[in-house]
Amino acid sequence: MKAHAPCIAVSGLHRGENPQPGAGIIRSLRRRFPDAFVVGLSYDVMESGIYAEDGPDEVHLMPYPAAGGAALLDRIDAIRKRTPFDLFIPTLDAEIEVFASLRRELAQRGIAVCLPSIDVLKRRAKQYLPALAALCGVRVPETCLASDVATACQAGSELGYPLVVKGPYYDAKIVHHAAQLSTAAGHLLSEWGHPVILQRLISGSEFNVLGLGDGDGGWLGHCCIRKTQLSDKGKGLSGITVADARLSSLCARLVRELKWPGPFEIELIREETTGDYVLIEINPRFPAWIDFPSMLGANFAAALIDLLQHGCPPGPVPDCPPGSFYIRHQIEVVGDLNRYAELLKGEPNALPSLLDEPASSKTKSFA
Amino acid sequence: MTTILENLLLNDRGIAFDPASGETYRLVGPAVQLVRLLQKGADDAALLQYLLEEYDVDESTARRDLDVFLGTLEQMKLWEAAP
Repeated sequence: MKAHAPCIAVSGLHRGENPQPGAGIIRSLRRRFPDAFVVGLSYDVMESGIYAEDGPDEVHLMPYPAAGGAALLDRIDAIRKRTPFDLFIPTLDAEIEVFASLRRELAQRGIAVCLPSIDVLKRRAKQYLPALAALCGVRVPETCLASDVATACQAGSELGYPLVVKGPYYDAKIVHHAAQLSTAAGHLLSEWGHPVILQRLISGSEFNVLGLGDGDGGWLGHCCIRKTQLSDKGKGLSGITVADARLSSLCARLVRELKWPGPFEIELIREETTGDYVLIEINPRFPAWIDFPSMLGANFAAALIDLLQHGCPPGPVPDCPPGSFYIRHQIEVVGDLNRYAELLKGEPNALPSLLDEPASSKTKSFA
Repeated sequence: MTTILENLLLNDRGIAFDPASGETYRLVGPAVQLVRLLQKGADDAALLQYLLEEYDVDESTARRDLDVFLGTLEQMKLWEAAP
C-alpha cells in the first residue's frame, strides 16, 4: 500500500447474471486513483469479483448483515487491524440499512461513509414511496401493501391484474391472476418477510438515473439511461444515455425533498400510453452499471471519494452526452482453490477465529 | 410545431437517435436526407422536389413514396403534418 494513497473498502463484488455494483465501482476508482488500495468486503467466497484481475487488492469475508450491527463492527475492527481503511462504499441494499444505523460508530472509528439517516432511508423504501412521490408531484403505480397472502389476494382483486409483487428489499414477480399472486406472495413473504408490495403493472420503457446527492438537496451530477435490453429477471443488459429535462427535473425534485446524501439510483418507467414517467424505486446506492458513465468521463465513484475526503469534489460530475450505450459483457475469471481456501481460513487476513463460522456455512454452499 | 423529429440526432450512416426517449431509428435510402430536410423546415413541395431531382423516378411514384414515408413518421409519432 502506497503512503497517502486512498484505502477504500468496497462491498458487493459479484458480477454474474445479477451483478452487484462493487466491481464496477472498483474499476471506476482505479481509473482515477490508480494507487488506491482497495479492500473487498465479501459475503461469499464465490463472489466473482474476488478473483477478477482488476478486482480488490485484498478481500475479507464479512458476516451477513442479518447478523446485526455489532457483528459487522467487530469484523470491521478486526479487518482494520490488518488494513486500516478509512473510506467505505457499501453497495448492497441489505447492508445499507445496517450501516446507515452505524454512521456514528463508523465515524468514531475514522471511517468515512456517505449514507442517509435511517429516517431518510425509510422515506424512499418501497412501502413509503407513494407518500414521497405525492410530495414531489411524481406518479407512482397504484400500490397496496400486504402482510399475509389473504390480504395480498384481496388487494390484488381491488387493483386488478396484471400486477407486480415485490419483496421489501429484493425480488419482483409479475402475476396475471389470483393463483399466481398467492404463490408469489407466499414465496416473497417467506423469503424476505413482510410486507409484500403490490403495484399495478406499468407498460413502457425503463429508465434509470444514477447520481450523487450533496446532502443539502442538490446533486453533484447525474446520468440518465434507458434500458434497451432486459434479462429474464428484468436486469438491464444494455442501456443508452438520454437527456430529457423532464426526467432530470423529476429526479431533482426527489433528491431535493430527501436532501439525499451520496449515491442513488432512481428507477422509472415511461408509460407507453401517456408518456408519463412513473417512479418505481429509489435505491440507496450506485447501480451495477456505475462504471459506464465513468468510461464517458463522469466518474461518480471517484467523486464520492472526493466528497468523503474533502467534503466536496473539485467540480460537478460532467454530464454524459446522450446516445452512448453500454452492453453488459460477461467473462470468466479464474478462481484458485488456494485463494479460496485462504479466504475460508482467514489467511492472509490473519483472522481465523473471526472467519470460522461463516466459512463453514459457505463451504457447504460451495459444495 | 415542435416534433420529436426536430430533435433527432442523425449520423451519416442513417442512425437517428431521440435523446429524450433513448429510441434509435435506422433510416435507409432517401429517408436520411428527407429527415434532414424536414429538420430544416422543408415543406411538402421541397421534399417532392428533392426526390425528383435526386432519383430517377416519375412524379406520381415520388408522391406515393413520400406519402408513405411521411405516414410512417406520423404513425411513429415522430412528426405531424401541418394542419
